[in-house]
Amino acid sequence: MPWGWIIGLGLVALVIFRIYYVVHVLKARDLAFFVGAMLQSLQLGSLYALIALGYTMVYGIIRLINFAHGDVFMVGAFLAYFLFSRSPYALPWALIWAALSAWGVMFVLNLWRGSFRDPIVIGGGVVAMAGLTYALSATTVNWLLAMLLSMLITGVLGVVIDRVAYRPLRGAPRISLLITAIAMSFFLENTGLLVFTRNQTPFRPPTEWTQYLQFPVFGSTVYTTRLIFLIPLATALLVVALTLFVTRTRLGKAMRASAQDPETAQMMGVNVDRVIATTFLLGSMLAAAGGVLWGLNFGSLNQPAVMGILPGIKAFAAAVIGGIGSLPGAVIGGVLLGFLENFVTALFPRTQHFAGLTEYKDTFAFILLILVLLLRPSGIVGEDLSEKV
Amino acid sequence: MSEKRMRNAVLTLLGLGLVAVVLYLVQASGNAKLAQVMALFAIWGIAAVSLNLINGTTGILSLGHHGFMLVGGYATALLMLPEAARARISESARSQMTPFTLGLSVESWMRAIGLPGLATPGTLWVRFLIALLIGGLLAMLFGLLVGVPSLRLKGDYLAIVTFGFGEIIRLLASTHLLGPFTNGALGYNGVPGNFGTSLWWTFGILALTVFVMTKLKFSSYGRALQAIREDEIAAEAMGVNLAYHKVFAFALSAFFAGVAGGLWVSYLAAARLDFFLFFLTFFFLVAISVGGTGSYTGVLLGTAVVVFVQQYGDPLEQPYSLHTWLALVGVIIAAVALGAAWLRRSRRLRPVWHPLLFPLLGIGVVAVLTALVGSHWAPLTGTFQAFGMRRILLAVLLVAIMVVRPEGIMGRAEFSWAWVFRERRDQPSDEERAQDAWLSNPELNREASDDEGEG
Amino acid sequence: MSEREPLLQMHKVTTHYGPIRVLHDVDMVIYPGEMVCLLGGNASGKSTTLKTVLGIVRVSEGEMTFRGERADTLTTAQRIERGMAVVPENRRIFPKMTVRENLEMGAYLRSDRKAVREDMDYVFELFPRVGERLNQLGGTMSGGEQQMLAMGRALMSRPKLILMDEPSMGLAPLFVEKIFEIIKQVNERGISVFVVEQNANVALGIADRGYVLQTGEVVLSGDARDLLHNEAMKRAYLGDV
Repeated sequence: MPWGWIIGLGLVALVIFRIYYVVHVLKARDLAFFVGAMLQSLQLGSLYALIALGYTMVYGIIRLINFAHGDVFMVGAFLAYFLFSRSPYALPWALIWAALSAWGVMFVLNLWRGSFRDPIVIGGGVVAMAGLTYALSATTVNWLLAMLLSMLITGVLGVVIDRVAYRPLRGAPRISLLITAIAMSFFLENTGLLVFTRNQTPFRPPTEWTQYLQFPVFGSTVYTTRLIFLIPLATALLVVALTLFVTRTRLGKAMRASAQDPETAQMMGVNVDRVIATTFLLGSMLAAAGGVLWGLNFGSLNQPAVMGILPGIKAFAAAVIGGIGSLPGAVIGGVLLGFLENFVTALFPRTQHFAGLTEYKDTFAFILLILVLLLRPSGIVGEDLSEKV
Repeated sequence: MSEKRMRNAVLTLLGLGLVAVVLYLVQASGNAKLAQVMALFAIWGIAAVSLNLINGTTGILSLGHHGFMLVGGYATALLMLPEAARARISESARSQMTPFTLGLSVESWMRAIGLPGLATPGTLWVRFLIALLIGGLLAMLFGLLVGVPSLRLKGDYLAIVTFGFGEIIRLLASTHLLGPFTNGALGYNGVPGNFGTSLWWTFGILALTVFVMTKLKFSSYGRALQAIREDEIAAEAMGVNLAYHKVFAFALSAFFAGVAGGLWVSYLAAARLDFFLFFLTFFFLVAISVGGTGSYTGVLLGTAVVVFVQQYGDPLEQPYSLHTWLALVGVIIAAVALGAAWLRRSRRLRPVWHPLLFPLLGIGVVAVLTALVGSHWAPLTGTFQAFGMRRILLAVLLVAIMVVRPEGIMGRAEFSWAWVFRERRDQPSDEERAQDAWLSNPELNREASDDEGEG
Repeated sequence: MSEREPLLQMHKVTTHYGPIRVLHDVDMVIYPGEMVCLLGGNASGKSTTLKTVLGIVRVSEGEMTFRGERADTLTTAQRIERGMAVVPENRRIFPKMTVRENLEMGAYLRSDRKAVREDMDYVFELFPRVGERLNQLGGTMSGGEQQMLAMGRALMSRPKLILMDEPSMGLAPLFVEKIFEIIKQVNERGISVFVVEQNANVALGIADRGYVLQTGEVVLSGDARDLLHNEAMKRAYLGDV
């Protein structure tokens, strides 16, 4: 369909002209600034992509906009924060953290083995429990381990949310499900305020990746951090892992089959409830990773009742824009939204005569979402999952 | 039948009179807290009832109600801001307002059109009424705007779009675009506060709103909206103009939300962006879902629950000793386990005692016992204060209602005098029987009852 | 019939949809190696019978046994493990999965890789066109090809009993003949087939026995040949030929 390419190339041309205009005519910014903006956009886009994947997977399989997903992202970030900043822990706390993480390990092993009574699953849980209790009580956890543990615990949280709030409502009208998701979101936000903190929290684990970096380009210098490598790389790794899981493994194929036709999948012997739980597990794990990387990117976390809302809704918008239900769509949508927010505001910087677009950037996602929903609901990748009359 | 109608009308008037007496007593008693709580109930009641027009009667989940309240509230606040406050703002360096926007006041308009009598302190209430109306109309305009996507989108997507609207309005309100109207993050202080806290104003407008909504529900418009809720395609096939009805519903709902917003800023005597966050819509959602989505009586009931928890829930957020918390948590966990088992039994899910429930019950009992026995145990000394418990409670309540009884307490039933007198409105009354030859003719009647017997 | 053990037996099976009774006192039996067809008009309960056998619809009264053990309390997955497979109404292949992946889904519950590959080869034998399009997306195939794929998918679980829901629906007559020929071939390999069909002529042409359902009750049953010549059947379903 040539229209897509025409529009795309046209936009690229417009962007190039605008950059030229800003640099050489307005002389408001130099090229290095735009290179830096591009890198920032890629980072932000990767983060949105990670969150969007969870939305798109859940919607693909049970047609629910999981309002609580943005708050799961928040929980993941805060869990990691407490893990790296307060460790080593006294024994009772170390035990609790270890137990939660070991539970997560068992869930992940269960994906492979199929039953919680399998010796490998139980053994893995016990080993994790012992090892982590030691690690958490004797050492300071580094950010990477904190992220992994947070992913495990948040994954289990996602499964529990599904089990407690969404599974009892299978077959209920969609509005009820959506309201329950909203209630879950509100619950997580306020419990987060209670359990984590009420304030904005700095997120600065000691790591090389946040070190500053500069390199010359086009005569001037780009100032950035090493995160321009970490974030897109980590995102790519996780996306590849998810894609492999979904295309190569038995359970992954069952997930895709259940998303296309749950009743027939059931007729093939698939346990659809288990598939749905897996979807929540994986989506929440990715959201937690996104939360940690988000913290590294911005250096701090907003307070729990606020942190997840805007990123969550924007990530959902990204999933829709890319094509809801499609994994590549979520990634494309996320990256696109990152560019839209960061790069487009860079294209229209603050000058004497113009206040700039920065204060409006949060509305871009919504506006684009509404436009996409009204004009091309199937999104960029184009799988139309809307109700067909 | 007209006798019944007369009787019902008289009873309703008597009922309203009773409510008026109660309001007078509350006001006279000097119990400021109670009056404040009741005023809040009325204001949120207006908003919840208007939200129910869309969510409950038309079956569209709208999540942007706080946006309409923002529009109406800010409009009212700006129009009613007293001169002193305007002067302060114009002197302040951080204010975003322009002379034009600062000049927007009902008072100055009254003077301009040659009605100085309406610009005096004594006629403040007239100006407030006008400001309220304008706020409502402005919100209604936005309601029309939001109603347009409802023609193309359904269900989840429409809900997200309405949520987006609520957020966009708030985001834009602090930018240069709308800053001159809203004074950005600073907002307004000194809005006349005696209307929003007045029981007469708030309950009066609430009564009006409920009257309009119930009249609508039982009219042909209301039936059309309910038809849209049940089955849009069938409704359209029967000639219901979807566009007109949906947009109309949004517009009317937004109007009352705007009015509620105006009363809200008066209640708070200020207007700030933080007053119009999503939590408002969430509270209204809880009120509607708990009380009964199709029932305005239910919505009022639900609003009462929400207001009660919000206003009288302070005890939940006091510091308590840790062993008290342990006991409480233990009781809750055990109750959840028992409740889940009861729910499984009533839904005929087997096995009733799911294996997960045993450890849950066990943990709960152990926690309670530990708390009772070890109250002087070292780790259990110390206190903990649960901030935000009221909101958590409301969230849990909403999830519970959705799982256990999604149609809410009242479902679609409304309060009616017929119910009070145990009348069956689906059976012919004695009067009707007497008038109906078919029913009163024994020969015909016997045949009729034979047929009924088979069906 | 003789002293053979029935493969599937339904005894006074009654099912409900809420308060509405759909099947009433249904008695049916299928012996190993047989092909049995279930006939009836619209809303006679044919599809519900199939769903009840599979476990998607629960039995309210009565019981069902499969391969000698009580089956109506088992989950769908358990019944498939024990040897049932289904070719659903309208094929219902997974449109965004490749032909190969569709077949693999048929073998979802199996873990013996070598045998699965053998079964796939057999499916390619039966349906060469399926074998040619292994990497094509299921949704891009024609109705007839999808029917073949659906049948192949059912065979992939190495079932003892294949349930088929209206295989002729929406297919050109030539294709219908072909499909039923293949069904016969599969049956001759020893796999029992239970076909629900509207097209009574074709179904009775190759089946061993048949049942006729009307408003949830069995009104006729017997050898396929006898049913073909049955007067009531002729008038109601076969047309006066």
